[in-house]
Amino acid sequence: MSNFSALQTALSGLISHQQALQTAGHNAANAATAGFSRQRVDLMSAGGGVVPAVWSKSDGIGNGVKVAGLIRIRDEFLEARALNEIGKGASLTVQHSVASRIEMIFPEPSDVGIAHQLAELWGAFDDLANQPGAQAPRIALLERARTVTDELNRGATELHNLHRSSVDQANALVHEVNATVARVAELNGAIRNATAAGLSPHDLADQRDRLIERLGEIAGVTTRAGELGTMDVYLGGSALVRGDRFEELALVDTDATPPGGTPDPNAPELHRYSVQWAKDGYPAIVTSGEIGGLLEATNVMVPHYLDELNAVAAALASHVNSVHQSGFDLDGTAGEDFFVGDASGVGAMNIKVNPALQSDPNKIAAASADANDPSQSAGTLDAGNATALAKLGERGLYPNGPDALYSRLIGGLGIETQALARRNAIQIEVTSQVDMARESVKGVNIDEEMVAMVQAQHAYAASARLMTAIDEMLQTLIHSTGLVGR
Amino acid sequence: MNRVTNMSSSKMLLNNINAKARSLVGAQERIASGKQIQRPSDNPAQVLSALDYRGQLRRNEQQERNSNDARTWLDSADRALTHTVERTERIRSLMLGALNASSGHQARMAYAAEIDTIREELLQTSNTQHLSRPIFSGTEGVADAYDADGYYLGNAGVVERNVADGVTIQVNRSGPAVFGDEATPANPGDALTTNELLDGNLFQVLTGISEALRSGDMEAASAGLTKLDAATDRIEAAQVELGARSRQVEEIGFRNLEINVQLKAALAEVEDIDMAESLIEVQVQEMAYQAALSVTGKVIQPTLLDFLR
Repeated sequence: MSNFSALQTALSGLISHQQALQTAGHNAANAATAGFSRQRVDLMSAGGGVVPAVWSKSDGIGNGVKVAGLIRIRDEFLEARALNEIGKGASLTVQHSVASRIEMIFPEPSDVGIAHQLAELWGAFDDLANQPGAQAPRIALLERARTVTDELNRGATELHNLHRSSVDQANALVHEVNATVARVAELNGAIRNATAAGLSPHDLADQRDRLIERLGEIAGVTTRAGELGTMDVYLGGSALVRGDRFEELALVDTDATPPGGTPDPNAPELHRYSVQWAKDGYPAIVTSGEIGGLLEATNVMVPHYLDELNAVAAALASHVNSVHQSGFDLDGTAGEDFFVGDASGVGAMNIKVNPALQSDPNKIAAASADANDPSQSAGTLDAGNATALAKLGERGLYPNGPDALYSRLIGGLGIETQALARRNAIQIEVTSQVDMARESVKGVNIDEEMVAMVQAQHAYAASARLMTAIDEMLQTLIHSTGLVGR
Repeated sequence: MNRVTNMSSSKMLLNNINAKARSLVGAQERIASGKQIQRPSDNPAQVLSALDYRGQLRRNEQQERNSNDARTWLDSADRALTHTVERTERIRSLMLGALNASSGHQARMAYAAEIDTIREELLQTSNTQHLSRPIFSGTEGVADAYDADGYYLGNAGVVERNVADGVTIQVNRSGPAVFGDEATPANPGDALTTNELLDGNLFQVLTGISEALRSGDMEAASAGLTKLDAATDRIEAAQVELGARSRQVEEIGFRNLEINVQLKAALAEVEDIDMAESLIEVQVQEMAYQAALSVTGKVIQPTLLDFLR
């Protein structure tokens, strides 16, 4: 053991604790950085020479301290769980917000919703029954009927808009996935190179894991650790990122008319969309994340409510038309269709009051057929048919009438939205708990960092004191020894 | 939780504050709107009840309107018939005067002239209109129920009003049902003879009586008196019937009003908030929110830094 080895011991303390101090500072500086995992300097005592040589013998006392490595503290199990919960949570949040927007399209119960407008329409038929010969109730009735069809048209248009905006949003998110996976792959490459060179690229890893978390939020991905610190990302079992290579996704309209082809007559009114792998067009399985939620909204929820609204419009047209056609108008001719659609039939989007009636209110068939001669009107001022039309609004008489179907729509919508709100609330709670748990592992506690800092500071001071002590010892040895008898 | 980090504690506190603020806003929103259900998902079952009650309420109000219309219709018919009966009484007394043996030709001519005038008046009464529509002409689109010769221009159509769920009331009586069936000449285009006239409706009977008085055919005139009594009976019967219907409509109207009140109460029960309960709810939420805020203020501040020299 040489005189200077103790100086080396002191130096190792100075270097190591300076590093520890710096790490504490880095941690404290990132106390508010999202996705940051705290780091620890792994200190290890430096032992003496293990193998004794002839002239170099260890006295068993260690040679100070050394930094064995810089550890990034995180719990991979909690991270994987959080990724999963974040994906589910994002999907539910999107679905709930879509359901709430559908709810806004149908403002019930209120004095402006379709339920109220239908009731007003039946009332207008009754007013016509009271005054079949006058113009005013006929014109009022036509206005009422037009309000109902306008309201149905508006609902259908807004559902179409909601569908389109969901598709646009999903498309933007797919683009974001493509940009993000490229960046993750790039970071993976940098991390691999740094790790291979013996460095600890923890902050790059933090950056990458934050991007992966965003991928989980968008598309619900899973991860698997690769070699040399890299992280592979999987989407429904297929690799989205492997090492520094990545795959891209595309959002595809599966009901689109192929270029130059003829439109599929069986294609639904609102086209279905799916996410596919850009390289080979195979469908990618996206069930969670924001995209998963948007696909559910685009392919299932919005079309479902449009179908129900179409059923309301069709029931309104069929019920009113069948009664209206059995009646006779002011001129004694048989009634025409009251509501009409277009060539494809009657739907919420295209339902309107028959233009022939609009231009000539006298064509509204208020009179019923003569009891003895069904081909004749019972009388110009007969109002039997108007009464029959008004009765269409009587509760319980028509289980498949427009009122009943609309109530069913509203009931279903309310229950679905409520269930989604509850599931979303529960999911938010679960996500926040998992989040809290992993934050408690990897997050920065300033008190703790202060303690580490004070500790490192004291250790640094102690090492410096050791150096002073040895310096003094050497000074005694050099300047004060060998002066005997002088 | 083993470690408490600055991020996790601030996240948790923020979550708590947000949750409290949401509850508070929800409670305030309910107070401000006065409604406990604003959208279907607030309570799907109650929303469906509310839709049902609203539909029934609208229908009930419509039926009230229908029954009001039915009453005015029945009342105008009643007024017309009351007037008719009064005037036929007058004719009856005139006829008794004319049939008296002491009446001379001159007097009978005068009686006949007055009967003619009253007939004109009755004809006008029979053409009484409700909302510019003759009430005794059935469902025919005509301006008058009877022409000047006493011929019926309408049909036997039925005018009904739906005054309650499942209750339809006939509000009209067609002309022949009130004033009697009319006589038609044996050969179309011929004028009716006095005897044929006496077999006709009220107006034809009156023409017949006037003709008999003018021509001095006392036998025909006294036959006319019998016919007049029969016609008056028929009108009175119609009047009684219409009166009974008017009362029925009135009673149904009262019941409609009661149903209306009940429906409104039921709707309020479903839709509206309990003000006292909601106010207390707001107070509670406000307190919880303030507690969360003050706790957060205390918890977030201190760190070891405050105590290190």
